[in-house]
Amino acid sequence: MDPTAEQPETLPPAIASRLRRLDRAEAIFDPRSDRAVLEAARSYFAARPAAPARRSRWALPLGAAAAVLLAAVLVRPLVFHTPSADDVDGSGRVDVLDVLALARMRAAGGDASGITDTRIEELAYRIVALDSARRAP
Amino acid sequence: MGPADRRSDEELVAVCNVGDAHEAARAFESLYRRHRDFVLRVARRFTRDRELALDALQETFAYLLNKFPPAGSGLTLTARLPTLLYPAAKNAAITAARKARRAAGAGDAELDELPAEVPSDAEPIDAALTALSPERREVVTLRFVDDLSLAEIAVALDVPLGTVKSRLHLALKELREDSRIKDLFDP
Amino acid sequence: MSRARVLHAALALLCAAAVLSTPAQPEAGTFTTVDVFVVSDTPVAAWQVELTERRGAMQIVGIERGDDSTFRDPPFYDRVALERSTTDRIVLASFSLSDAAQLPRGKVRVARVHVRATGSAQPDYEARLVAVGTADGRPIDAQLSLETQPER
Repeated sequence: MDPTAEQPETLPPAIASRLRRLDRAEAIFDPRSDRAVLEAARSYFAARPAAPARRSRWALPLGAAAAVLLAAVLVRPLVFHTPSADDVDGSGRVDVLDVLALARMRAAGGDASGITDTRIEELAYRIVALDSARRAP
Repeated sequence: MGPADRRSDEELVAVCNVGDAHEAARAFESLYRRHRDFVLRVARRFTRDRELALDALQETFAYLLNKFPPAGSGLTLTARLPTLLYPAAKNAAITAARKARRAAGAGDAELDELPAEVPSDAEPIDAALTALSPERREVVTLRFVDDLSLAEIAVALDVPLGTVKSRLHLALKELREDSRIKDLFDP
Repeated sequence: MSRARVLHAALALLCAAAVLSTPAQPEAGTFTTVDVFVVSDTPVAAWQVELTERRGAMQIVGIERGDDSTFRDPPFYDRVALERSTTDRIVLASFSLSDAAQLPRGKVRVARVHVRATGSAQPDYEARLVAVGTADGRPIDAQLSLETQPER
């Protein structure tokens, strides 16, 4: 009979506790190493092709609806224009503080907030755009 | 830093395998933050030098990173991630320590053992633990500090399960019979 | 809300007044780094800076994030700017969701811009602090400084 099967695999709490304390005796906090690893990861994955946009089964009917809306906008632009959509914090300007506000809402509410990372990034890129056509209003 | 990522390691690995650049980087960061301290502790067991341990930390996660596309073919977790990270961290730390010793002009001494330091005024428990052989101390640490199962330890050390059981049994027997701490064991 | 808008408008004026220019330094055609610093007694959670070269003679060759680990990602910037052989300005922005206790304060390098000066005249950089705010999104008063040096 295998003697190892008879002996319990337990260690007295005092010994186990001491062993854990010894192992964790010195915490090492080194932001440089963290940055190096995470920067390497971002660079590594950046070489990966961007994910293709998923084509929704609703794309065609939505496209038709969009065409209708566009026509309506051209006829009555004031009805559909929402200039304050990007002014998340209601400050009267659109800048990085609106991006922060969106990101905070997402962090607090997760998916339930209805805010996606894409939306946050899009606004971030709009506030730094050099061309007026791409810039946030 | 936002809220902690609640996804499992398996989910995060899946995103690293097939996610887009941004999502994969985020998932990898979650894996890093979750397992960073474990890897660093393992590295510190094989080199007491802080900088060498940090080098081993970076090497270990570089090893993990290269498992994923584009360079790697993808990773399938057949065990918990610490089981995969342990040998990588151990080897990285030993390699770093060896290089440092060679650079310092030391001989090519065997470094595959945990550095043992037993000061004369050591706590009885510390002295008893340090007196264990490196292989037995390693199994005890993996079992009771890192909470790996015996099967996981076998994978991490790349030894048969029977070998793990035997080492653990002998380690506990040795501790139980150590006069300095035998009273801590139940009669 | 209107009170916040007044405050924000006042701050915008203050930021506009905080336009900073540096004396021209390295010769045209050379690579330089332009370090952007935000100086604030209050912890900074978000910042936005516009960097201009008054003669429109710079080529942006790279952008790095700053020193503080709470701003873990490189700043947002218009990638089109990097594709241009010359540009007169670039806008950088970044934010962090870290707790206020972890956020940087004091003089903090928030970005490093790698620039190749084009044209024959020496570059003349100017920076404007567009917005800066706290962890809860409040705009705050802050200063800006630039430090340039030749690339090694």
